[in-house]
Amino acid sequence: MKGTVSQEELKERLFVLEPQQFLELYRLYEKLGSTVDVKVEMQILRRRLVRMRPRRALTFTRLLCEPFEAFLVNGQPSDPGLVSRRMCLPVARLVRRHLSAAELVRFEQRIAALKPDDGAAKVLLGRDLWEVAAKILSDLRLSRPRTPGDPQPRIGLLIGCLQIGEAMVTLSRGIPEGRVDALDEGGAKLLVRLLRTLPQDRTGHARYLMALLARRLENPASVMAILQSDAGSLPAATRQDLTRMVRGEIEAGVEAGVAKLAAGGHGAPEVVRQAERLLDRLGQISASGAVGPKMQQAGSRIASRLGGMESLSDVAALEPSRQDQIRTLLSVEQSAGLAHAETYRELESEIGNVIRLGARIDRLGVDNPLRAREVALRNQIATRQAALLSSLPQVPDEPGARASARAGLYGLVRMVEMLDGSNAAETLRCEGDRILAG
Amino acid sequence: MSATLKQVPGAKGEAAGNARRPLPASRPPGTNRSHHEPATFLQRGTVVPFTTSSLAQSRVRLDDRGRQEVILPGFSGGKGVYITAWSSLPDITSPSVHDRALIETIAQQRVISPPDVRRCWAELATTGIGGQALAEKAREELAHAAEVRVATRIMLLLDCIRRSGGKVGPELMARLGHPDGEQQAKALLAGTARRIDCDVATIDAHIGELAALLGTLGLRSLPQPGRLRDLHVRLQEFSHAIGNWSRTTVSESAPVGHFAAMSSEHSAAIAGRAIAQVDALLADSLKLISNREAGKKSLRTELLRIAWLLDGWDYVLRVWADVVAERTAVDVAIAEIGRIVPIVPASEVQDASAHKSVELFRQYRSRVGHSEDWLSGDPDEADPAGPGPGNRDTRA
Repeated sequence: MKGTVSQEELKERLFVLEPQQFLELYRLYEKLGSTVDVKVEMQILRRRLVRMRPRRALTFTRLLCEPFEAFLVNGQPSDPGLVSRRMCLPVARLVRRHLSAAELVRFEQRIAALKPDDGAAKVLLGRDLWEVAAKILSDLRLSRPRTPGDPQPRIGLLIGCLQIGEAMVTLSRGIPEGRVDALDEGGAKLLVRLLRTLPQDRTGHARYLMALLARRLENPASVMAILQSDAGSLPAATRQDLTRMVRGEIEAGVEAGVAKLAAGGHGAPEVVRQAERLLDRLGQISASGAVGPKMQQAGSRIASRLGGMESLSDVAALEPSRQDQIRTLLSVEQSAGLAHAETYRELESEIGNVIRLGARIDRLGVDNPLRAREVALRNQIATRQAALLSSLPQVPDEPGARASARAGLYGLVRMVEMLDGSNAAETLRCEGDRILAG
Repeated sequence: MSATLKQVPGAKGEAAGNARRPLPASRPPGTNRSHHEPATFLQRGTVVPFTTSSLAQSRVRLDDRGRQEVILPGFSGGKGVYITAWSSLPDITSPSVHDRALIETIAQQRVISPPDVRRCWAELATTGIGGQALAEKAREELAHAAEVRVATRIMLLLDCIRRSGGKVGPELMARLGHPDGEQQAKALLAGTARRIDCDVATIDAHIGELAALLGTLGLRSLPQPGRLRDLHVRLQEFSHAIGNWSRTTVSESAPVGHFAAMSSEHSAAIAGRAIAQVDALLADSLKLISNREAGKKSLRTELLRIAWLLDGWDYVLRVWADVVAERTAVDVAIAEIGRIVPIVPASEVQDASAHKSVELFRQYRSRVGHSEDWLSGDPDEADPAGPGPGNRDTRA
């Protein structure tokens, strides 16, 4: 057995340890310090940690930050709707400094006396703290002259979240951990209940609930459908406002992503991945209502960025030494496909990406430069197909040559299937096999 | 569409006597339905690695007249399984060209066991008909098996030499991959030949045959395990992982996760015993070689049993890997795992753990979903949206 575990193995075996062993391992890592490797590995471990929701000792800072936890990011946030995790301690210090000594002692005592599994008591305690903290931060913001470097929107976000802290925490807990596509029935009911019970003077704060959903859900636009269908008990004007808020949150995220994509500096795989994600997001907005001019423009920018790329193939080159090894280990029939592998896999990748991304652009109804590329690819495959079929009758009757010809044919069959569907591909396969059989 | 499908729901009592016979190939609509509760591996069939998503985890097997048929789990979103003739598969669905070619190959070669189906798939996939990524995967798998065979052969050769009193120095060890080293090693086999009263060429050929059999498993002592040994390790890990998940989650899918954990633990435990059996046979290579055909037969039987026991699990592990990498929502993945989780047929377990298989099948049947009868698992007949009872058995 090996003495060390690679980061890949750590990812793969993340769930293998018993929960208690896992927590012990995590605590060990916490004690190891902050080298780059330890940090990377801790990030991997956190993927399980967030799903386990282990009982962590409740502290003043943790309780204070719970309403805006969804917006905390490691490192410098690129988006004004996000807050650096490093702000937590200074904010907590600030609040503690402005609490009276008696208030501080009372909070500390209540936190220490809290039973770990008493969620209701925690929210009650939190409600008191969040209200006081929101007032302190709000007063401080008003008393300080604004300077150009002030992180005003971020402070505003923190104050807003704290002012409706109970609703924020309740909604956050109502969404399952990990990847969640859309709110389920229970989640939708919870959202509507929270929206209906927001204090009269805080109805505008619903935007923070919407921002939380935009951050936590894979398809935040699904919230718009909920607002249209399930939120019948809310006034129509409120529903419209809320829909606008969600749309605003999603649009802000898309615009930031498009700006990053347009800035360039990434390789094809990264651009394809990012573009696909953004197009998906735009598709979700489009499916939930009309796409506004801003999003139309964002769609056009993504399309033109993709259209301007020389190739959309996102596969790395094969390792020549491994291919040589495989040739020596396998029979000529089994390794025949290697003769075409490099060319075909690039072509396949290009075709796959052009079709996938092209379909997403089409759905947005903007100019699609990938259509012309698809036509060019179709012509290229047709030319290859004609050349191959005419060469098949001349294939020598020896295993290696026939296997290579068959691999050449079947590789093309696959690409025809991608472009024209399985019936066209099956026709080509049958024709090719017939010629090869003599 | 000419194909006739029969549906075997996942929930309704079946007489124990019937469970041991293969299900009949066709059944008129509305007649007695029974569970798909295979008693043997042959009845359970072998998973075919199709690329069309609606055919995922379909199994090929022989019907009672010796014709190939296919078992489709949860076809069209149903809970039970559908069974139809193998040759009619292209008529009832729109398979990819890869799948059409695989259907043809399996029919032509009339294969039904996991190693044979896997070989058919790998050889076809190397042509690139399922895409270059799949071709690369198939070539890697075949190359890995070849590497394991080479390493196994060398290890068996060395073990034979050592057991018959020969010495293998570090120089020879370093040259074992080269022709001159091979020659030297064969020369040292003379001692083995004398000891078991056989000629060197026969021993060498026999070692080669044993190594060829072991390509998918390999020896315990090899740094790179064979595919099945690796799959067994990963299955054990999966069992722990999904068990932990189901114990700590608040998700409604927790019972399905728990069921998958129990089933994987059961399969892994029995496969572990079979692997230990192989390792025990290989522990004394001289004895294995001197037994010749009997030794080879025992080895082949155990290896086939391991392949059957682990059949179908690699797809489940891939689905779980997608959860761990956050490519799939956990509830979606657990639903898919619950649909296709393999259970060891009761008649294939000889010891006391056979009752575990029975228990697992019972649990599998008793998972009741939305608008399903809690006793039978059939769609609630009072549900106007659900299909009526008479039109579910046969679909044309």
